[in-house]
Amino acid sequence: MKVLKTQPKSITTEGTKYCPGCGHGIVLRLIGEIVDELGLREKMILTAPVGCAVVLYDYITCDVIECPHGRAPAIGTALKRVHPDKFILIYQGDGDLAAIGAAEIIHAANRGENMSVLFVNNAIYGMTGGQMAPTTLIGQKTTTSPTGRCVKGMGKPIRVCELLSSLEETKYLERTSVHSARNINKTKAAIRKAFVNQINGIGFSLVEILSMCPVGWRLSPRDSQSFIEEQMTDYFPLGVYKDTD
Amino acid sequence: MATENKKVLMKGNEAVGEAAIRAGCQCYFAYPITPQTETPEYLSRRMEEENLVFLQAESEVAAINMVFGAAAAGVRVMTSSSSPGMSLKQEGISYIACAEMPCVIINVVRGGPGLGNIEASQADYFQSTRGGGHGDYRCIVLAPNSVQESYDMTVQAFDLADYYRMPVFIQSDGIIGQLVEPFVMGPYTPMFDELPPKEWALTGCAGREPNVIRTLFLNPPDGLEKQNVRLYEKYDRIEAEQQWYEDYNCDGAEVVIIAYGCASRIARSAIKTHNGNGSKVGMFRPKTLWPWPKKRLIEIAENNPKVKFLVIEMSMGQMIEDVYISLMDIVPKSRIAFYGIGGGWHPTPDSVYEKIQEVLAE
Amino acid sequence: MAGKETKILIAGFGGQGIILAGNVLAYACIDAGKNVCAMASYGAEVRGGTAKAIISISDEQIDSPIIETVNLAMIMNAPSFVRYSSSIEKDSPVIVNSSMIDQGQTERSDLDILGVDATNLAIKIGNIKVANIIMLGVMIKKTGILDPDSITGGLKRAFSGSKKGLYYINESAFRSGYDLY
Repeated sequence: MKVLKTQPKSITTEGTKYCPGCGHGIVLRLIGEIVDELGLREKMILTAPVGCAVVLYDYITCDVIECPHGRAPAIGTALKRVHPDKFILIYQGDGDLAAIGAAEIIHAANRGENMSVLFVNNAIYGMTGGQMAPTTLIGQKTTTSPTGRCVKGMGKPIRVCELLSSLEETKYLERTSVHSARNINKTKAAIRKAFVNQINGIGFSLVEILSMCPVGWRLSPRDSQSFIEEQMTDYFPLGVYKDTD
Repeated sequence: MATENKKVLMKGNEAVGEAAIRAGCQCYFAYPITPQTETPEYLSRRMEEENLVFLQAESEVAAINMVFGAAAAGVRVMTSSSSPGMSLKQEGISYIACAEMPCVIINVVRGGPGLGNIEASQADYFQSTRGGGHGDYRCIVLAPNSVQESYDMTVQAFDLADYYRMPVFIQSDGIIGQLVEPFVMGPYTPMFDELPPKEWALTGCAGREPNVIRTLFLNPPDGLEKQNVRLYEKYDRIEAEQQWYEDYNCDGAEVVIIAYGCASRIARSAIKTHNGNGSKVGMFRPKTLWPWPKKRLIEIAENNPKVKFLVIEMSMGQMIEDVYISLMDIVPKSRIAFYGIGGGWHPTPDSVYEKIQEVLAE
Repeated sequence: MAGKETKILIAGFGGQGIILAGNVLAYACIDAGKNVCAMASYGAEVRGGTAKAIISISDEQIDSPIIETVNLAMIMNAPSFVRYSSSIEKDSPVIVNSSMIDQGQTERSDLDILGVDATNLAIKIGNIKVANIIMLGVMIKKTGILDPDSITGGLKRAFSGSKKGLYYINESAFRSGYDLY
């Protein structure tokens, strides 16, 4: 019998605690595949964020540091300075990266740290139960914006790729999504490029991945996919924002 | 640099920087703040010369997390700041303490609360000795009172940090940090015969099981409780092993002054004047603020049942709580007097002298 | 206070080599086997343009680093003279840079003031920046607090490495100050 696809070796077999329909699991799978393909598992150090992906070390079998909320880019900076030959993967959510850790990501990007950042943007605080994120869409209802996010007093959602693209030391910025098979394939290619960039010493690479949060959004998994297709990609256009390799 | 064991001249803030390099510190991360900025200025030059990592961080929050990262990566690392900056670092310090990562943190204390002022102060005593950040933890706190001690203690702090796997503070102040004094820049002499290998360090998991550095203990439910018990067993061991102090003229003294850091030098001037005039005044100087050196203080009190104590601080009454706790079973509070000045100001030899006369007359 | 402690105030504006003069004294103390402790003003005070250093020298251990009054002073510009003369103890020697200071600017008649035309002398020597070391020469001669050879040693240590080229002009500035009176 021919094996077409198997579980990545770098991913544990116990399964994840992610909710049904959540996009984190897809991103995890993609990381595992690329880590295996590039042979990175034994030379990588992963930073786990505060948020739904906090226990990444239960899912990926590599060296991991669990970071204070938002501080992964600072911790990653130090890891890379100490071990320039190791592969440093920064994994962050939208609250982690774009709210509490906004300063850390901007300055790590501005210094052009040679790291790969995966920014999972699901426009909500999933782990704490569905509160407004810096990337929550206008009009989107959350437990802390019960009548919907309004521009007045809450501002508009932060577009991270666009924001970081003005920093000249960022080398590769792309926004992708995991709401369909076609987009998952594109996401894999983008993550792969961000990894290869670091290996080749190109510099700071970030992939922003639009991702479903059915529980936080109070939508079915299928409607969550549609929400990305119809609403999120409208405000957060997919595509390459910077590619200077 | 000057040759070994010959006296050199430096500011306290520069001496801690050179001490770090001599102790094998590989990385230094900090944000400028008066009155400690000479340390990052000095290290920006020296670490480049030595091909080490110097990075001026975007904030104290980022700097302490860079310290966390470098410590996790397995190297000796240091940061420095002054009071308002130390408040910002507390988040990271709590994580570092929980993850049991070794690092050295210099606090050149200035007046507070708030933005306070840039004058020397000892008002961060509670913050340093009671944890400072959230949760059940302690940090070793060393309090130098000269440039020589700033140098020596910084070197020792790296060994203590590695030996006990925890953050170690050097608690200096705006005077000790800015003071220029000759000192002997001795070679690095290890405090311990052997330091535990850093098998937990993040280096990529080639040929071994992955290492995970974590501070979240959700599962099983008693995981964090076990971690706290483990931490406190370690803290008990440190309390037994590392109570540092200096005592001066305590045997048969009528009054024993208790003071640390800069205040201890001011007090010593007053004591010398006083002892020239008759009755006997001594001093007990804690060199570790945590663990507080209570064993020796209790001994002094027991050997000398009538002795009065006078606590001198450049703060409004912080260390005196440790004096009360140490002596609660043997000395009534009425025999423990206090003289402290806050707000970045300090007692003078004359004002301490007057206070000694008051205590003697009571 | 404890022992015989010489407490020296050196003050002027930034760029006059106030801290440097203090460091030369401190280095000289190392060579002379004396204890020394120096403290310069820092922070916002310095940004205003004034520079101040206080140096304590003693044969005994120096305890309190807090110096409220001094018993020797070297003052290089008029604002510092006005600002700091109240912190000088009665009868103390005070060396002032008469190129920039009118001695009538202080109401203190109980100080032993000696004016030195230091800035103009420095220009004659060839570098305006050595006025501080000329004044140091005068101060050492007048007070005898340190052997002139230890000051020469201090100058060697202060002007080492990349500043080595400045040693000779500073050494001759010191000599010219020392030989002035």
